[in-house]
Amino acid sequence: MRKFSIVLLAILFCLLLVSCSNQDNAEIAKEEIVYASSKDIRDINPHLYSGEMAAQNMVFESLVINTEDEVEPWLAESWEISDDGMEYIFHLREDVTFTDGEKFNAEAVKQNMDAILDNEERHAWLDLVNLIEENIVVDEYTYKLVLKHPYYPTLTELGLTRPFRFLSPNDFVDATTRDGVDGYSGTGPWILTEHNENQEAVFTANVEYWGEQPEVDNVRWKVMPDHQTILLALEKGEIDLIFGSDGDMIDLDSFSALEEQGKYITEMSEPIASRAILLNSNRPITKNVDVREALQYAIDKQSIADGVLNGTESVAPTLLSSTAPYSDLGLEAREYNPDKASELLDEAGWKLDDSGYRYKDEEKLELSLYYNSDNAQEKTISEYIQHDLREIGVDLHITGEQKQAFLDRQKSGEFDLQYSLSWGTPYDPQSYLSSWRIPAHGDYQAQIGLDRKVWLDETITDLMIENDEAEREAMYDEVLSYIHDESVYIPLVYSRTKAVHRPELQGVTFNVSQYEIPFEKMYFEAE
Amino acid sequence: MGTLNKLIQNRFAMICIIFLVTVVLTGFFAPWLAPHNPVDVNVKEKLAGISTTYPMGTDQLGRCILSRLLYGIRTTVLIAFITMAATIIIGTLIGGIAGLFRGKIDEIIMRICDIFMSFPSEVMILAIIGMMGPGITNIIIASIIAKWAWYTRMIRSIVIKYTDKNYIQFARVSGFSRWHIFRKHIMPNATGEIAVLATLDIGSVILMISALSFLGLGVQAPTPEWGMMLSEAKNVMIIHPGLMLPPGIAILFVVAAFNFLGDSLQDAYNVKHRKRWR
Amino acid sequence: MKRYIIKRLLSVIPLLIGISFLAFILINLSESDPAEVALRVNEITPTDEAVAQMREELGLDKSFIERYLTWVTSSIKGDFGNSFINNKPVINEIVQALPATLLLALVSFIIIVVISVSASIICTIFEESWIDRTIRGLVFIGEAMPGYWIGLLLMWFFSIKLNLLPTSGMTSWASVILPGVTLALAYISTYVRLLRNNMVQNKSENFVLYAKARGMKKRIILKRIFKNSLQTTITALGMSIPKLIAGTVIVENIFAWPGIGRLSVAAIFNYDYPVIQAYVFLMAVLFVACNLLVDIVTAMLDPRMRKEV
Repeated sequence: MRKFSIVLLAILFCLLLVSCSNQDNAEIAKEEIVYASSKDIRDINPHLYSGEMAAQNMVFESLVINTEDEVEPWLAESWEISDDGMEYIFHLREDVTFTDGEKFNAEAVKQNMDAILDNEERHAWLDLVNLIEENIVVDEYTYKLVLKHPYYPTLTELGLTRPFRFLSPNDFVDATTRDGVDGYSGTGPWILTEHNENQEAVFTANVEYWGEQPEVDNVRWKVMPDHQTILLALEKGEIDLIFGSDGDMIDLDSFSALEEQGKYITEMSEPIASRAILLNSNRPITKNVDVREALQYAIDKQSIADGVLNGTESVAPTLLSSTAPYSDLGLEAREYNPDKASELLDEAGWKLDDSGYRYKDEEKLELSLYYNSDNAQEKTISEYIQHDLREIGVDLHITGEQKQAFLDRQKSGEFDLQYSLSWGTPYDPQSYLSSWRIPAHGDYQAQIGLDRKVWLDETITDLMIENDEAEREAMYDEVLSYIHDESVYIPLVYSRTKAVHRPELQGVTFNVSQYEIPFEKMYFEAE
Repeated sequence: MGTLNKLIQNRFAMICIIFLVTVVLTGFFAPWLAPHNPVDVNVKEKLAGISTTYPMGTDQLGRCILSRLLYGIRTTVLIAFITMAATIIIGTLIGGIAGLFRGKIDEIIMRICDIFMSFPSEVMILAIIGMMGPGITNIIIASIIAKWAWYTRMIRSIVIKYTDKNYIQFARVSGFSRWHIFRKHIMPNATGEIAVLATLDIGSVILMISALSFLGLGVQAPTPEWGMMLSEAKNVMIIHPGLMLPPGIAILFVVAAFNFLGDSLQDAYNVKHRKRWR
Repeated sequence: MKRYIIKRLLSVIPLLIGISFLAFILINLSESDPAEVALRVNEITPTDEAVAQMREELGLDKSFIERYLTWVTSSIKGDFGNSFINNKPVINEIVQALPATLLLALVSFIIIVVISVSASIICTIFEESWIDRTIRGLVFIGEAMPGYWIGLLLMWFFSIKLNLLPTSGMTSWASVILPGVTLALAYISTYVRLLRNNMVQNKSENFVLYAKARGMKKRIILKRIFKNSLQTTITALGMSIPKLIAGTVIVENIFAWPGIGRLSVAAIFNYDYPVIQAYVFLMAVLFVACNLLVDIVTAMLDPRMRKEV
């Protein structure tokens, strides 16, 4: 038996020797970018929502694109907007064909638009779809969109990754796309040439592409469900690139460590989206605005940004970053101040007990926070918040739930605290605010307890169709200031998109949308 | 008791028992033994190495790993014990009824057991947790649903084996009630065999919790639990591979000890039932 | 023999009914409304009208019994409905993923057989020596380690340190080795123990003593012992096949293996009810079928066994 123990020890010792070393695979074909994702591309029908957006963006293109400064021409060379803001005339490029040889023209645009409108309920989150009065083929390369009301984010929404992207009408089934399509012929720089479900997909450069040709021949999209497997594969040289946001592709601790090691290149985009905690104004404890305000001061955001997120994201003083349109309002930031938080809670009648928790009329100050259990980052942040709140005598229960159960809870409003993530540029602020009016969203449920919720929803509806810039600015100011004063959100940090890649891979950049990956700009350094 | 002697003679089995008792005691006295509060967060010290303040370093939130490991005994081992205890109680009750009364009731119970036993336990547990959501209570419920039928069946056969023995037959003829016989004559004899069955399975419950944690369906944070700790350490495996060692070795040792003990008990009792196919 | 097989087959029918019922009610453990889930996974905002319409479409407005009967009758025809996520028939998804899982299970099975048999023989020859103990100790550790830890360690060691095998995916014949070994490790210990103990026991049986007395070669004696011990092990090995298929969930997720284990985990996370239902049901059917097959084969080999049932 002694020998048995020795063997056991020897094995454990081997395990202890776990340390990292790099093995160079010199023989890598430089004409193919291998990208690993935890998800399959699924059905990339551009008019539906079940596919991966990054893949949809590779194959399908829109009339205009969103850039950091403004909306720029893409498949449409130029456009005119009528003075009342209700008519948009687009002059299309004449040198574009779909990859199946079909000509891209106003007729194709109309057929795509009709297919999208045919499935209106599925696009309910997007106001533009509901506002289209008619869409007209003026001549072969001129297309006109007529709206019911003026709608200021029209161009921005036309440039989103979905649904206003163009698929060859030959791929339509029964003249529509709502129940599936026959193929994926787009106009984009990439063609989907191979797809083994749950294994990999291969995108080949479109040699007849009207714009700038992609630098490499292929993009191989590998599906690896476990994040550690992805990192090990990167270490082995099997993959070239990891790309993603919100901790769904790469653990932030690993990201920082890889950055320090210097074996790979790590990149971060500008701050893109808001990560915030919703405080439910419709629940017994959090309906009190003083309690909500106290919670704002109780969470040490700086420690979350620096400690938990390793400084990869920046502290959010307000819900929307002041760099987002209409959001530079000079709202007062609420800095971490546990004393002030305690003071506010004392005033609200929640007194500290010997047990270290607060009570009011024998009732304990207990709150609940729910997070999505397959997001390790939300879990860590929740645990941190729980700790901060315990310091001021608030007992926070945190519960991880699967995505669907989590979304159910948003709809039912059965939460005190809940995560709220904005979609980031170019969706912020209009799409984010717009979603506040939908009862199935946690934002709506959390705001129901506000005195002026009806006014809030009406103002959001009005400002979308307000044609006067200054008027619109004033309305945004009113809405965002009200939400800020009511402390419905605890802004935490502004998230960034992150990428890790091998040093040979160059040209890794970010699009404004965190959901897109600009593969076409990437190339390998010649040796 | 001959069986006990046999067990004592097996030195390694004794080591296992001593080890497991120590583990349980350590868990019991965790508040006095642990250097820190297991849920105290300190992000400035996160992922720190071994030091005098943190004998095993800290995790991704700067919590003391040693303290979490010690408190983790309470969660991990307790869940395993409760699961097995509850399963055995249910199995004994239903299996006892089936074995004592035989006939129609036995027939019905056995058919229901057949149905439940047709589902591979991994699939059953995964589906139930998936539907009911993660958390300690649900893990225990799911394991009981997945396991009770097998135990019922085993206990029934043990009961039948003893019922057929002469002295029990004699007691029956002498007019003792079924319940009396079950309590006074069958149970004391059967307890040992049931204990063997349970010991063999405790290890598998601990491994199952860790598998669920890997999928994000384990116990709720921030409860210290070994499976969850291992799974959290896995997230930083590339940069801090050593972090997987404390929870991993803890699981390895405790599971191995339970398995070995189960095997030795099986030898000692000379139980003929084959080990459950995990 | 024929009668036995028919009798055994008939006994399966009530079992299947029970299984289908249990698989069906399992879904009702969830508090979520399937109609809402079906809408939400397609990014449709679940308004009251949309939910009502979807309930009708999915037949959720009917009574429980009616729904169960509809499900069972169409399941018999192989129609398990459409996946909520991609709207494709569930059966297609499963049929597509099954070969990968079967291959993985098969490779694992071969590894189990090869290692258990050779390890047991070595252990029997060197009974109670250090070799015997080392081997038993090793397989013991393999059984007591959480599967994903072993998987990641193997991946790290063999594909990164030694650069021998691919990390993950199903790209070449070599990619099946690591997941196969990981899956097998959890089971080997049981079989080594079973086979070794059986052989050690047989060593002192009369026929061995007799053969020894007759001066037969050691190798031939060993062969006899092995043959004699194998019979009991075969049943156990037979039942390990469905266990292996059901046990692939973790391994497939780590090694990016495109089988049904991954399919089921994705379904569980998205509450893709039709897929979960079909997966649970089919796994149970597979279990029953393997059980049946093992029983019949055993009965054919040994007529004494036919009495049971």
